[in-house]
Amino acid sequence: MELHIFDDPVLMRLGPVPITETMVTSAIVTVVLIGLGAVMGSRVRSGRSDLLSTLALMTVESFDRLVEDIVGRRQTVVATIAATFFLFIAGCNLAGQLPGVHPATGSLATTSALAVLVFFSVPIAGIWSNGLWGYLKHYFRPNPLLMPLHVISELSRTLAMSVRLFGNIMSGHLVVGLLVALAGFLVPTPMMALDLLIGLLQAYIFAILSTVYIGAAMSVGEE
Amino acid sequence: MSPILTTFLFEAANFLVLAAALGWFFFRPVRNAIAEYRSKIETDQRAAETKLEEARKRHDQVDQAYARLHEDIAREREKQLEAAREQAGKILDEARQVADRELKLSHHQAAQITNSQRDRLAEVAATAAAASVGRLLEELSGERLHDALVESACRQLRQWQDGLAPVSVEHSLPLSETQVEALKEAAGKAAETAEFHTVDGLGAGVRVLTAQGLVDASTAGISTFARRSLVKEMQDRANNPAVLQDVSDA
Repeated sequence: MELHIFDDPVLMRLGPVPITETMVTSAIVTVVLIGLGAVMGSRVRSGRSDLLSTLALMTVESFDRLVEDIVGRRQTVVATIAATFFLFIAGCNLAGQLPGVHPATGSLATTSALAVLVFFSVPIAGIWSNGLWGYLKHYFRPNPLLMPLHVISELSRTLAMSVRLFGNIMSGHLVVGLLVALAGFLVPTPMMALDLLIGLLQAYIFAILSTVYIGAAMSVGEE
Repeated sequence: MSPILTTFLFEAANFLVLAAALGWFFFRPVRNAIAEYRSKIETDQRAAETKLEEARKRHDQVDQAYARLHEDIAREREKQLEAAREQAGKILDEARQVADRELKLSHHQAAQITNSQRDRLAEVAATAAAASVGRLLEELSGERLHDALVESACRQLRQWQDGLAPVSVEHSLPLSETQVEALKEAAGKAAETAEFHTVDGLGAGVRVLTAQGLVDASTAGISTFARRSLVKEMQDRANNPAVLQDVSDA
C-alpha cells in the first residue's frame, strides 16, 4: 500500500493542468451529492413521503434551525453553505472508507481551499449584512490598536480549521492503512469505525465553526 | 502548474459549484416544501382553532342549555313536590274526615248498641224484678192483701167520683159482697152500670177501667208498675253520666 501524506498523486494531465487523485475523488463525491440531492429534492417536490424525502426534510430543517440558533435569525444562504460544508466533508470522509480511495479531506489542499472559502465568506457576509464601514469598524473595537490581533485571529482560525480537518482525516486514514498493511483486513475494523465517527464529527465541527464565524461577522453591528 | 495549487483551486471551485447545485436542486425545493407544509399546518391550525372556538361556543351553549334544563327540572320537581304535598294534605284531610265520620258513626253505633243492650238489660232486670215482686206478692197473697188492694182501688175511685162511667171491674180472685159493695160505693153513680169480670193472671186485687183512667190494684198491675218504674229508673240513671261514673268508680 502506498501512503501519500502531503503530496497528491497526479493521475493524468489535461494539457498543463494536472488531474490529481484528490480532484477525482472530490469530483465524484460532488457528482454523487448533486445527484442524490436532486433525487431527494424531486421526491420532496413530488410530495412523496419516503425515506429519502424525510431525510432531506430533516437535513434541511436541522441546518436551518442550527443556523437560526447561532446567528439569531433565519439565514438560508448561510445554512446552505454550512450544510454543503458538512455534506461535502462527510461525503469525502465516508468515501475514504472505501478501499483504495484517498479521502479528499486528507489533502491539505482541499482543507485549505475550504478554510479559505470560509475566510472570504466571513467578510462578505459581514459587509452584506452590516455594510462596508459597519463591518470594517469592528476591527477597531474596542481599541484600534487591536486591529492586527483581529486580523491575526481570523488568519489563525482559518489555518486552524484547515489543519484540524486535514490532521484528523489524514491521521485516521494513515492509521487504518498501517493496520491493514501490518495486521490484515479485520484488525483495523474498530479503527475504521472510529475513523468514520471522527470524519462525521469533523464535518460537523467544520460546519459549525464556519457558521459561527459567518454569523459573528453578520452580527458585529448588533454588539 | 503545481498539483497542489491546481487541487486547491479545483477544490474551491468544486465546493462553490456543489453549493450552488445543492442550493438549486436540493435546498430550494426542500425549503419550498417545508414552507408549504408550514403554510398548510398554519392553515390547518387556524381551521382547527376556528373549529375549536366553535366547539367551545357549542360547549358553552350546551352547558347553558344544560344549566337551564337543570333549573327547569329543579323547578318542575319543586312544583311537583308542592302539588304532591297539597294532594297528600288533601288526601290526609279527607282521610281524617272519613275517619272522624267513621269514628263518630262507630261511637254512635256503639252508643246505640250500648243503649240497646242497656235497655234490654234494664228490661230483663226489671222483668226479673217484677217477676220477683209478683212471686213475692203471690206468696203474700191472702185475704188481707186482696182486701188491701180492693181498698186501694176504692180510694182511687173515690178521688175521681164523677164521670167514671162506664166502669169495668176485672178480678181473678173472687170478690166478697163487702168488697163489691165497697167498689160500687166508691164508683158512685157509675156503679149502676159497672160490670164485673173474672180474668186470669191478675192475682190478688182488682183492675178497674173507667172513663177517666185505669186503676190497677192487682198484684199483676203492681208487678207491671214495678217493672216500668224500675226500667224508667234505670234508664234515667243510665242517661246521667255522673251516676254512671259513680257506679264505675264504685
